[in-house]
Amino acid sequence: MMKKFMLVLAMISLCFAAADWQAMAILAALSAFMVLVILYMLGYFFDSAEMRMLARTEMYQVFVTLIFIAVFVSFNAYSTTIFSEALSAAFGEGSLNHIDYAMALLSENANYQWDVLKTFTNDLTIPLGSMASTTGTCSILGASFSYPGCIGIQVPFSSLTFATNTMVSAMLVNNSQIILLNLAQSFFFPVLLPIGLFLRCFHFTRGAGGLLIAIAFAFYFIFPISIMLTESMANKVDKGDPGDYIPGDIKYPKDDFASEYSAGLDSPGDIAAAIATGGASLLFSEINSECNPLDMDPKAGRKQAKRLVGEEGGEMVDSLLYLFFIKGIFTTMLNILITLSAVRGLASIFGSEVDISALARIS
Amino acid sequence: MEWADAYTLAIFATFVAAIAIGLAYALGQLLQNPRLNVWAKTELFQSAVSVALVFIALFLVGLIGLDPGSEFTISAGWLTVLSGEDVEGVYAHPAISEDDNVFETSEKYLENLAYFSHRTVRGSRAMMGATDEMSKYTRTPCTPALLLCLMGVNGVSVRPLSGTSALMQSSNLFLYTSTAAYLGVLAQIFFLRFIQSGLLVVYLPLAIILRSLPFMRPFGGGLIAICFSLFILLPMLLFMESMFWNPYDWTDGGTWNNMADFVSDVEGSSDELGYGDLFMSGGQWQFSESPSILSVFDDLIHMTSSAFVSSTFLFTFNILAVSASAALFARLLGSEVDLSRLVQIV
Repeated sequence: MMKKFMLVLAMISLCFAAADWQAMAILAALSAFMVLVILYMLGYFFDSAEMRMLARTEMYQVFVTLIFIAVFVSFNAYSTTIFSEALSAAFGEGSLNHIDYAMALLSENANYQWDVLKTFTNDLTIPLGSMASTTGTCSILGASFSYPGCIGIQVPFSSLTFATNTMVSAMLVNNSQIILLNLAQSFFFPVLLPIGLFLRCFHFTRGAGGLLIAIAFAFYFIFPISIMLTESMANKVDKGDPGDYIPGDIKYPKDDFASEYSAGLDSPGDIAAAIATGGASLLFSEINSECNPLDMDPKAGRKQAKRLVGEEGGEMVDSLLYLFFIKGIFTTMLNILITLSAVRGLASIFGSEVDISALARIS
Repeated sequence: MEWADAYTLAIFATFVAAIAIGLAYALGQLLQNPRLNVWAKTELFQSAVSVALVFIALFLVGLIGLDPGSEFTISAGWLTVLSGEDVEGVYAHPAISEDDNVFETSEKYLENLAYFSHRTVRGSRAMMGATDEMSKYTRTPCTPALLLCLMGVNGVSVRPLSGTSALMQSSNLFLYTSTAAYLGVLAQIFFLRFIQSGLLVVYLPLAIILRSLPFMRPFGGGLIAICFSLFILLPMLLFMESMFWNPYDWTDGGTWNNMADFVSDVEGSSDELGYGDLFMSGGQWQFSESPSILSVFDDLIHMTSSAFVSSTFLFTFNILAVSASAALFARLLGSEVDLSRLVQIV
């Protein structure tokens, strides 16, 4: 008995040592076939029609697994040859498969989002927050009077805080997609797919096997293709000419989208250095102030809000909303939903019945 | 009860069951009762299945290292052979030894994930603290200058880095996500220890005994399916992940070191703070420093994503695989088991 088990284990390790999922999968199917032949013979020995019928049914499943293997080999060959060549030809990159391309798209997205967040924080959020905090104080002989004359700017500043939260959420999910692609490329497809095919050959592990195959297939093929499609859809939206804004158009923020607002403003680094050295000239140089709390202008907040969103009311907000909320968060949700729907459909085809909505919920 | 005793007990139970079934069959022949004969044949088949399950289960229990007396145990050395990479050099918090069995390897892998998630939690917390402090710096003027200040403060006071409160609020998202990841890993570690503490020694024999009783067969079958899937398949999945998925691989050294420096600086400075200190810990991480607090913010985004996928996403995935296996295995044994609710603990 132990020798047989050792033989099976040796076969499994041999398959992995081959470092080739196709060999592993075929050996798994053959191992299952041999086990079923033995079961069929035992059915005759014990004169058990039930046992023979079980063996016959399971043999049918081995053939189905072999068909699956053929399908996966075809898909893999397609992605690494025809599809890869098409991508390489279209984008002038050498040896680019669908995962590489999807990863490149997401990395480009991540870099762009990060640049926008940096500019946004350095040139808008910090100066606006600083301006909103200004308070005029007058004291004489122990009596003092304080007036936070720019407190109205807290209203547009709160919007910037909300925007920062949205940007960070978008960047988190974008980076999570990159990690998931890495997971699919280095773990799901080369490791879990062969294990799933092996487990699927036996009745009592068919559920786990079917799910592993479905997840490996969906995250390796469907997920990157979904990323490519949603990214190309998002990029096709007419974003208009940056120099000629028409209300309703969507456009990327110009490189210097924040400079108009913060023109002449000292950089936050300078501000920090000035704080450290206690420079006397700091006070008024750190704010390009259109809001002087000593003016007691009740419309100061409104003025800043108008500058923030532009005269037409959408120059910056529209583009940021599109970049992070639609292109960042919404497309990611779409990609995950498409992939998990594929997992659900494929899992039932591969013989697994399981509710995968938990993955959608945590995603 | 030792695992070795289980073999003896199983053989003894099989012997007793065979005698009982034989007597029932003889009685059926004596009374010319075909229903009794069919029942005896069915029970004989089911007993054979139970015996097979006992031996398969005991073999698997030995294989994953729960039975110290087992001759054949899968060790972490297998991973070196399977992946072609030295398993002892993959992790450092703690390092996996080639002699570690499935449970030990899985637990060390989870401890490494916990270390990674914990670093992210500390980074998130330090980021919240630093940006909070920065946002509260207040510069109060001394106007008019010099000695006239003594007469009172006049002019405009300002909090120049007040805007960092936006980053502080965003750090909440990091803290929430990384804490969920960290707790998820800890839950898995404790779950493994729970299994190792002998849960299988109690549940598996009970399940097999229940399955041998005619009216308790579905219940016993369900328990066997749960034992097999939850207590054997889950550690095996973690064992495989330990070699083929490593979040440290996807976090470059710069990111990891930046986070380490940032956390130790912020936490270290906080410990040294005394009454009247003018410069708070966050002050060391101004925007002009290199690495700046904004670049650490970017590092935090990468680490949080990695912690989420490695801990929360993979945990859910593992439980789903276990759930799928248990459902079908239980159906084979004549029972219905739905473990998918377990993922709600995530």
